[in-house]
Amino acid sequence: MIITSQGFGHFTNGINNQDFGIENEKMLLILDGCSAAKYSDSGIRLFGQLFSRKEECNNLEKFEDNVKSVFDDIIGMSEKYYPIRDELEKEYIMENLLFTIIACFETEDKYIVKLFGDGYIITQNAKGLLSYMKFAYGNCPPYFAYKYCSWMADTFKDYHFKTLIFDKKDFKKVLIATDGIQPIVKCNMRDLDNSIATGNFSLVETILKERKMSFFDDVTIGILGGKKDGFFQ
Amino acid sequence: MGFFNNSKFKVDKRKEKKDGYRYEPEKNTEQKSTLPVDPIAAKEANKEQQQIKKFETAKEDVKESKPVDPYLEFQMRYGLEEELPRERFFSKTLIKPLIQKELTIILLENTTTVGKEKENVLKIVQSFTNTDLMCIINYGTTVRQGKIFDVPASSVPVISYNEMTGEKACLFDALIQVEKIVKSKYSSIEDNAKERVKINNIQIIGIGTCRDNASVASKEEALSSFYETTSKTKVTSKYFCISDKYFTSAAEIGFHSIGAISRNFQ
Repeated sequence: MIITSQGFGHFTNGINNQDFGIENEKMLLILDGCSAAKYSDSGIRLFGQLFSRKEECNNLEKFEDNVKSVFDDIIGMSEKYYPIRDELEKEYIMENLLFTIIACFETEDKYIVKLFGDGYIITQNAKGLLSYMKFAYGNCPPYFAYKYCSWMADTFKDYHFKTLIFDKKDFKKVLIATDGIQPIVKCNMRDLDNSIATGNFSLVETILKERKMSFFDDVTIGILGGKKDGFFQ
Repeated sequence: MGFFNNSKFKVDKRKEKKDGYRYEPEKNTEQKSTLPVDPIAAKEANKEQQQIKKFETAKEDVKESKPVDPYLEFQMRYGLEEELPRERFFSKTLIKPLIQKELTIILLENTTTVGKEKENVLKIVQSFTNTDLMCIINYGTTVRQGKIFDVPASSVPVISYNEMTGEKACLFDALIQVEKIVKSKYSSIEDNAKERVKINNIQIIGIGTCRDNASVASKEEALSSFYETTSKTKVTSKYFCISDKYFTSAAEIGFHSIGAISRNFQ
């Protein structure tokens, strides 16, 4: 299940929600577009749709290759319209394809999270305590699309997906989220914490909408197998 | 000394007039003029003097007698027949104000790995000096708890590092120590000389790798202890890891907010 809410700052500035997500039985994927990129809201939706059409898109071992494959396809299709490489990089890649990628997979005994860029992983430990893990890299986080830009490629050539493994013995629940949830962590909103801990995601959505003005950036939370109308089991 | 000590205010005696405004007693005091004494007036004056003396002695007698009972005055004013127990009356000492304070507990891992990031660690500790009270707990091979001290605005707490400590870290023992502090201090009121202090807000800040390889206490005990500690309403917890590869360890314990010391991609 994916809960998403447009940020109040984006709403007042007339910017579309730059978060997008897709899910299936075994995989959850969330994308957070760069606010400074003009058309990142289009880029995340294009990438997300094409990725979901990929054969074995929910295969953990093939995930990174699948991501690269979709990027290659999108940029390959666009080269016809941007014959000059420099224009392709600066006017198309930089304006459409800058977004962070967070994916969560579930196996029998583990949760595995793949992350490229900034975002949050939310966990619930064996005792029921929630933890918000913040991945942040300042104003210039690493984006996968930088590997296709000649002046950035050398800097980011050694950057890879981060892989985090959570054993189900130690963790009851693992959620992924975009960095827009920062106000929840900073202000220590106990009611939201309790709703997430108990799996009451309808209430989570309601509270996010009620407190829309507290969230400047778009907020997206994803949980594998969660149900909107019922409690997570 | 004083306002008139300035030299320009000093009187120049050489400029004074003779027989001027200053009174000077006569130099020749041998011959004293005496007036005839009226016996009746002298008697009356004597009587007055005696009465004055009586009054003065009477005043002294009054001073030496028992002090006025303030409770009696209260009873007469409010028409109370029974004598009220004296404990119900306020004492003459001032009522001390109740001040609410925040306590920050710094849980600092004392290992060689963390020692290499000393500067970043110090920056993090400095960022919490806006708190009211602070307590630093160092944990390495053993747990060393410092005193709880007031944090003045301009000061920087001293952090001591044992460079020879190695990589032993008894995190679980340290978490049990934290539980003891929170249990004893949370919502408790301490009576000082001038004020009463209530700690109504506690934040627990951990810095290190969140590993344990030297504790006496078990992981289960530590997790239960930390759960009890952080289940209180105004107790928050954060852990600053050396790098994001230690995030999972901090999440296992249940620190609410987990971040890295630096923002470099590692």
